[in-house]
Amino acid sequence: MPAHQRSAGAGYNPTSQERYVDAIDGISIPPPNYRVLVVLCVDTSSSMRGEAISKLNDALHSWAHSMNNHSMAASTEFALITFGAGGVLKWRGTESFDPRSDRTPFVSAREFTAPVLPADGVTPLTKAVRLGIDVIEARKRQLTQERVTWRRPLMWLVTDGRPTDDQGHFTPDWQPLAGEIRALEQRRKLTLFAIGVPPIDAVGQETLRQLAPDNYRIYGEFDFNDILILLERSVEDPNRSIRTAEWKES
Amino acid sequence: MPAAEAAARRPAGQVGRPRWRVRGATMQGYDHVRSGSWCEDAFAHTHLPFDDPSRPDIHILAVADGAGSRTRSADGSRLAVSTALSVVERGIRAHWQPESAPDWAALLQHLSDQVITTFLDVARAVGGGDQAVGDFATTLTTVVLAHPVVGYFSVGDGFVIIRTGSGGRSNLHLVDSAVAAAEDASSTTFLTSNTAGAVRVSAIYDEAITGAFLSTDGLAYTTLARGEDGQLSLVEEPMVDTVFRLLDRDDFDPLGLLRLLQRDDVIAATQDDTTLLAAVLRP
Repeated sequence: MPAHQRSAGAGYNPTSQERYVDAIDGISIPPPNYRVLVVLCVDTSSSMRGEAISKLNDALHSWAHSMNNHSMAASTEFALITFGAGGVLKWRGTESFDPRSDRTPFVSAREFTAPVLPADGVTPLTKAVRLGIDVIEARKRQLTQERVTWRRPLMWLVTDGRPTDDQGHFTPDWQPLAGEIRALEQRRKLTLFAIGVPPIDAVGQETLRQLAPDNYRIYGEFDFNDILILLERSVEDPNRSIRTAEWKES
Repeated sequence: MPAAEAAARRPAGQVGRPRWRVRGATMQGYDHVRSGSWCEDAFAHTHLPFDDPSRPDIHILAVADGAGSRTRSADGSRLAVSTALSVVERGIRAHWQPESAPDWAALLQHLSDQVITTFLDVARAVGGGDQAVGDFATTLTTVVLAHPVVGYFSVGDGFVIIRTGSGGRSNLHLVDSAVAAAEDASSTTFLTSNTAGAVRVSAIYDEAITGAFLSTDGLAYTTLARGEDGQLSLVEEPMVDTVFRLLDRDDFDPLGLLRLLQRDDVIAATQDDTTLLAAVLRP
């Protein structure tokens, strides 16, 4: 019998079972004092037009809905960064804004909403990933002031093409980035997961393989919604490789 | 403490009756339930009654947390707690008996080495060689209750809390924790790591000790908070206090511990397998 139904009864003596249920349910549990920072770094270049961007938008909406009520929602924050249409952009909900702004794109997973992303433009992947690293560091500084700690930040990179500069020329400027990411991962400052979207070419695949040697997969081997499963496991243990781990639901 | 003195502290007619009431529970994290995976936490405890009434009975408690990324971590945590119990029990029976906290600490230091060596030997044999040992990666926290001494050794990020007197936050003491902060929170030392210098060993003598609580890191986020100085301490209203008070009661149904671990706010705060093992001194 729930406590509110019992309390009115004159002379009611709760059983020991009911007393312990009340005691357990009455324990005060503090809200999580740590955050999991997750950056979604998503390609919205013109090559994503059609089925790819449509699937990505569907998956983002479905994913946002799943995350809003997920048990991880209280401790997880998402930042969406896109590269392609409009250049490199930060997002909060359905609003995009200048990447040079000091405003953080991180929002609680409880409040995370997905915009409808257009596909256009070139593929400034390197600039977007660097922005992702910067927003993580900025958010960590804010959390330090708020006396909230964090677990190792995670970045998910989703792309179908080779990195370009702002003019659309293929560029090797991602190569130093691979070394920087390795260094961050060794210092436990980041774990990067890279998802290649077909028809990503061999050079594009090799780029992602070098950016995320242990955490690179091709879309089609799994659905975008499977990222949620991988995310849960990567939050539990960022050292878990998605190339070798048994990650798929049985 | 001399053995005769220990015997004198035991209520008459209660030789063989455990001095401590010990209860524990463990719960798979959400991801493990969803994927049908084993719980990678494990706990165990044992009671060493002695026929000789001059010996205070002893309880050995252990919790372990297998590394999520390792293929046999669930085996590792179970192997760790069972190894700890058998090695420590044998050691205590063979070396009986330390009389002071420093002597207990010295004995536990010695036994912790044996526990790690035995664990690695078994993992090597079961796994099929040196290369497989890392697959059994796990933490281990072991507590020995030999009232009024509480001793422990720990590898990794488990934690131990002791209650003195009738409890309340001011009478709860975080005696051991290595829960790391920030990015380091996801990494720790395992029995399969280089454990040289990484084993924390201590023993405390206090007549006022009335409870001991040990847990893997899963519950750290519901129990511990980091201050401005970076030091960990108990949260303002520690749930451990209520757990002790419930265990003090003869009629407490220990299923309540599972109810606690299944609470939505506990699951939201932990995102991991959770384990608690608590002991209260019987009146």
